[in-house]
Amino acid sequence: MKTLQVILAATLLLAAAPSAAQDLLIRNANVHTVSDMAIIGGDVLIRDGMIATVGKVSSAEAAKFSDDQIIDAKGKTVLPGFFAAYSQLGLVEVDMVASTNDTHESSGWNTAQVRAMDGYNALSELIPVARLNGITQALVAPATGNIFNGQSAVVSLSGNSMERALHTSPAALHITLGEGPKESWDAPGDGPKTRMGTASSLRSEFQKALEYKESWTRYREKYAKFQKDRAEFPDKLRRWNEDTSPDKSKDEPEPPEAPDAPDTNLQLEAIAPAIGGELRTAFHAQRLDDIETMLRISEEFKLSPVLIGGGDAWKIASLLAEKNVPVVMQPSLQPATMETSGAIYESARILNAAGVKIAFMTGDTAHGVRNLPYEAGLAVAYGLPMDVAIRAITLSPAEIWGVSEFLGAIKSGYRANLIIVDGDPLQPTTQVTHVIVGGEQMELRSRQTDLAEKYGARYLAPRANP
Amino acid sequence: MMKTGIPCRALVLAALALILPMIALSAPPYDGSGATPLALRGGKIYRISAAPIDSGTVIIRNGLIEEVGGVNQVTIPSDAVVVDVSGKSIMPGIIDAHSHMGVYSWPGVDAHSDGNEATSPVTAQVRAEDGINLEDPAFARARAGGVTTVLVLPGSANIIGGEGVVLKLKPNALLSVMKMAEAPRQIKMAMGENPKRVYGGRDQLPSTRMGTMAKLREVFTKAIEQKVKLEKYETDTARYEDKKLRWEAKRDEAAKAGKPFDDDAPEPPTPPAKDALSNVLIDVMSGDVLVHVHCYRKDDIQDIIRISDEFNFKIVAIHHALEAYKLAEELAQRNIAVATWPDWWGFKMEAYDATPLAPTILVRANVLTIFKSDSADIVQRMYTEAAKGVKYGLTEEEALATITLNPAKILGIDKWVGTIEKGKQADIAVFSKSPLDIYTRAEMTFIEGRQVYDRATEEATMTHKEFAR
Repeated sequence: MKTLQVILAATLLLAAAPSAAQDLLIRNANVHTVSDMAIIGGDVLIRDGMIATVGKVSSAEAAKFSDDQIIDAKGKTVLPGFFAAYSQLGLVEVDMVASTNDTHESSGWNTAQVRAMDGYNALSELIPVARLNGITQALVAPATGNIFNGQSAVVSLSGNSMERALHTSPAALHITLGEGPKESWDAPGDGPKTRMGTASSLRSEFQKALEYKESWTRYREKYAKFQKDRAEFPDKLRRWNEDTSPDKSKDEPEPPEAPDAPDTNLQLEAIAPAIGGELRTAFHAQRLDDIETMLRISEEFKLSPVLIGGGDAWKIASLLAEKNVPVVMQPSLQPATMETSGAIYESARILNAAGVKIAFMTGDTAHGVRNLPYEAGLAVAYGLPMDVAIRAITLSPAEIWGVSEFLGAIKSGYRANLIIVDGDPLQPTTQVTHVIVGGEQMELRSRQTDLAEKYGARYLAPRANP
Repeated sequence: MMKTGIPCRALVLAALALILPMIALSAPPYDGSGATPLALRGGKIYRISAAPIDSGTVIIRNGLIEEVGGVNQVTIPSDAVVVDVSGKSIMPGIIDAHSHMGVYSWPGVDAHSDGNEATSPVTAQVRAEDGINLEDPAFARARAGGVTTVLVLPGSANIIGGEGVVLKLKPNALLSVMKMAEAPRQIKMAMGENPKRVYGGRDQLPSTRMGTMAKLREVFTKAIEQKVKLEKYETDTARYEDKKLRWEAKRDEAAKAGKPFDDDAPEPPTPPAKDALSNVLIDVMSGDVLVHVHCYRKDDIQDIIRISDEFNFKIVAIHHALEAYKLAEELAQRNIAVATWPDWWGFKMEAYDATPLAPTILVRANVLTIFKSDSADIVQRMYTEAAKGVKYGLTEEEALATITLNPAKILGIDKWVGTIEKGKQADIAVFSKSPLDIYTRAEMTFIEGRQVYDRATEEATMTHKEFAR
């Protein structure tokens, strides 16, 4: 009994211990920086979880590193860890087991106030599974289905807690147009039943949020004036008291009265920053008319839209480019539903050629996130330049979600989220040999590799020690 | 000008008249289904039955593979239409042993839902072939992924969902033309969560795995009873025929002798009540129908094996089978195949213990292993599924067999398709690169010698134009 307690205590300690990210030196690698030119036979020095040097590290500097801090990546490629531009990682363990599924806050059509970070389970078994294929960061968002789904977050796929994983929250406010809300809210009285209803609900909520925002602006102005008046009041009173002139006012000055604050509304509070574009608005839309609705509403409320899905986006590629609307898309999207009937494999190529910034997501946005590099590979098979495809799973999503100052590239000063691969990074037959998140070398292990070893070790070649 | 112009034009026309038939002969769609041979020359041939040939030729005639070998070994008949496929890959047409195309036609709206006759947990008497929408756009997209043959199965809401049908993906064809004549009958069963969720949700049996097993025993027992009744009816009928002959002889004898005859005519036996469902299960037990069982969890696999022992039928393949790696030896020993995915998992509880290393474990333990799609999306890129198999430890040959020869075996059609071998049906896919390369594209697909997909033609007619604004 005592032994068990000791073991348990030790385990808990381990879990809570800060990640001891030691400094690392990757040598002789082909460095695909994404942000700049690729370097053949370069070094990457990682210090305090950050990328310190990219290029050549002097032998004097290299001599300071012990053998277990040096990774010889000769013949291999180093590139930024992949960025899942849209996912539900950490929000679900088993889709059909409700107790483990926190993806969809299905209590109403407007749940703008809910935050993905509050449902994020950093210990989810899905995270190491995705990481083994080189995914090191992701946008985690509430699933679609409501008109306002809630707020997303950008996380790194490491750490034992949400706090350690989190980079930004909210990253965006998520809205669904088209079939989703109609299907989710088709019970009588529950919510809008048509695309017309969806659009009018959006307008009315944005209008309320605008008024809410303005009422707080007015209140803040009044409050600022009140503070000023209050600060000046003692002086004012003193001057009155000291005033001996014959035309002195008979009334003693009253202390200033604080203005009444508007009622707090957390739902409108969540929507308000989207107005004016301070916070990104992510619109999930597929059909052409839904995409147009996104453009109209974005114009009306000066939103900063990102299109997610975009089955028909290629049909108005140059308009999206002109309006500077990026598209988060799944290259393998199928004409499997009514609203995705326009889906074609050439979407990514067409959008990119028109000048639209694209980032990629997988079809299964939780258990299937590990297929992200193959989605990029598929886009290349259908005409997208390879460097754009790699950018669409590294730096482009970082730019779209506002974290490109420190994520998505191999660059001095960037967070050390990077991977080493033994071949073309988009080929399924390529092995990811090292995954480094926040400067920490991650163990290439998951519940799935553990199960395979438990039941089939004798059939499997011993795994290469990274 | 006129003087020289006319003969010139005549010359051009004459030349065109000479060239035109040749162009017509050598332009897609190519056709090796008739007497004129078709030669695919210069590609890397993944035969599957044997090692790949780096640069080889396949001769197709009358819809069959007439010859296959290295470019220097194979003599191309002088009347052959020759297609240069140098630098490309040639492989057997891909076979998907688990599809719902047609019974869950695109786009996926309720009106297209014809895959689950979910009105009773056992519907052995229904057939997928009776619910197929021939206009499902997914068929064409599968052809564009090098797929030539699929097993369309009913869904898994029912414990016994009904009979599946093996289709050749011939375009613009009636079901009777698509249906592979040589293929044996196939039936779909389902264990685990799906039946108990569907019927338990209505407070009907089965709401538990126990209920599923009880139901299986009930219907198979009933089928045995029906079989006994049918057999008895057969012997009773024989007895009756015999009695009747004797009675007629007696009657005729009496008539001849002018004697009175008032013996009662023998009563024919009453046939047992018709039972279409039991009839199918009787055929299952006699081995006329190949049994495919949807199972995820290890105990579900063991459960259906127990039933098959009790009622003496053979399971051909466990489908999905995400925990099959936990009993690889037993499956190998019983010669039960596994039709699975390389990496789909976690969508329900029984799919939580999956591992992408499972196919490698199964293959190494000598279990016949198949990658199947169960999806009108994945079917288009089965070669990428095979590539994932290589990532986790299969050899290229093993991986390609999981989508060609191995599915042909479990469908009982490997005598005709699944490899590139002399005498087999010319179901062939030509890829731009190695099929295991993520950047590969199917360029041509042939079914029984006839070209059913041509990438160049499709791209030439593509109209991906922006909308006016």
